Amino acid sequence: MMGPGDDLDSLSKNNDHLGVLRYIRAHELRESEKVIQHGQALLGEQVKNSKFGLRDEAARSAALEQICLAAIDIDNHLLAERCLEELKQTSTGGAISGGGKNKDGSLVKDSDRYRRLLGRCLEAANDYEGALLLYEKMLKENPSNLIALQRKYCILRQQKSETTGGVTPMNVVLEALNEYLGQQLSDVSGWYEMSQLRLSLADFKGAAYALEQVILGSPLDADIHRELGEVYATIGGVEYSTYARKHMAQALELDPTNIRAQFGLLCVANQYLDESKSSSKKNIDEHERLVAKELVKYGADSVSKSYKGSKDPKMIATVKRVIDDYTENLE
Amino acid sequence: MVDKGNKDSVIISPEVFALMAAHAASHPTTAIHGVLIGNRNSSTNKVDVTDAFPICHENPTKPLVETALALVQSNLEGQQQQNNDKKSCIVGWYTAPELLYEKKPGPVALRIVAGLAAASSEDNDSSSSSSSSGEPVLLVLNNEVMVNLLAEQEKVVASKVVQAYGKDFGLQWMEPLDLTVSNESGAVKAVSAIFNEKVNVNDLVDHWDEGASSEWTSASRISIC
Repeated sequence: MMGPGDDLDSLSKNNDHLGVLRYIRAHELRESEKVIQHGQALLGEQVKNSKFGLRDEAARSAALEQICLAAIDIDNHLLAERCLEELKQTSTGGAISGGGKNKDGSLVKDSDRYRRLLGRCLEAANDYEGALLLYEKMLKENPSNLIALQRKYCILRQQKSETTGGVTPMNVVLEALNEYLGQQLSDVSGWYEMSQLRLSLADFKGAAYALEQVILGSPLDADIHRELGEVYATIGGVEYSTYARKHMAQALELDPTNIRAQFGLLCVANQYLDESKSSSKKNIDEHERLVAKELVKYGADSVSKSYKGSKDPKMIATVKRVIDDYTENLE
Repeated sequence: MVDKGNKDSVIISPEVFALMAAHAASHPTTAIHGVLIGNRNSSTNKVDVTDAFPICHENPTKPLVETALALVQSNLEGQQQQNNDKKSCIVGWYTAPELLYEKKPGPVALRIVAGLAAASSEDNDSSSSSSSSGEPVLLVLNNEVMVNLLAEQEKVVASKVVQAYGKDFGLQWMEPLDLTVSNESGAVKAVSAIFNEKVNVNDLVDHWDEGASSEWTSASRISIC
């Protein structure tokens, strides 16, 4: 039985196979080979062993589900199929509960949980049409089924289009992701995926909006601030250059050793000076320009310090020339 | 615009081919981008790509591209001072799409190469030199063909892995250009060797992530046996 002081190595050493599976599940680790090794030690090579070491069907079903997902992760479709067969057979047709379990805890064959697993196996076997049909059926029964929405987007994102021979049209992919985010507004990973999709389409304003949602969920992530700063700088204009400067400075505040943010600050602060110079607006705050100049100098200093320890003299000289280009024309 | 009679043709060195393929293989789940260095023969419209710098394995933004181009240009100046060679310049951009079935360049790569063209024409206007770098070229890797090359499933010709594009009548970089890889067999062997030995190509973003002491791999650092 897994205790609070146990770790994966001690559980493996003690041959606590069920403990290993539980540990990996609880800590959300991706250790597919270990799961299969300990899963087969627990349930046999053919995963048919129903009595060894397991007290109830719930634990057996959970182990089978975990082994099935691990099997498709390492391309072992035979083992995944065996796990699905075993899960089908453990279904005793008892009362269907909300989690898709029988009274004894085993999975019910046509429950959402079983169908989600089946869908993943179909995807792994490249039967995307079958998987999509399954997810569409699940969504018809429950339009806010988040896993089905998520998997539907993932399939459309990478699927080859039969009509064009290329990839699925982007409007279809965007609609699928919008549908998911409409149901799950707080999913930071979903918003980040939206930002990357928008960036790939060169829709920088859309990407900036999505990254703003990510920052609401992860305000202390330096890389997200840096990325948002870069996107605002790409949009251009005095107003967006100001936002770019602020987010890049925030990124360095959170992680002063981030070289990409150091170069980024140098670039966006310099861009602000260029944009404000050529802007038709007459009320550009001179204080803001002074701040931008100081930020250029700060960025240049930070980059110089970062490259001081480099053993490549060519790289040091290359970086020095770039920094000099940025700083020598500052008034 | 491209005059069909005077279309550019591109020759890439085996080191550049190996670098592009290895860069894509190092980051199989994302798009990759990099800069091409070489020289152009205006009389024969041949673009000779002799070096390449991998930039990123994500969708690049303006600050990243600007900084990367500034670093590459500065590196070229350093080499030119050392070797007294003024011929090499930035001649284009390379990319590999994110998805296996995508064959066309994405909007980001097209914007970048258009930006390179605009910057190059500004430099030509202000420069007193009679030589020009001309329009940049865009090289796009075909992921499906490259997978076959790495799996050695069939005899794959290296020049089929990469498609070159020049500016078309719509001012987009969608005009296919002729491309050859000098020393095709050497290039294929080098790519297979790099892939089998799991040699990682460090692009500029990797170099920044790992620290200033880490390598920024370029084509000139790859040796073809």
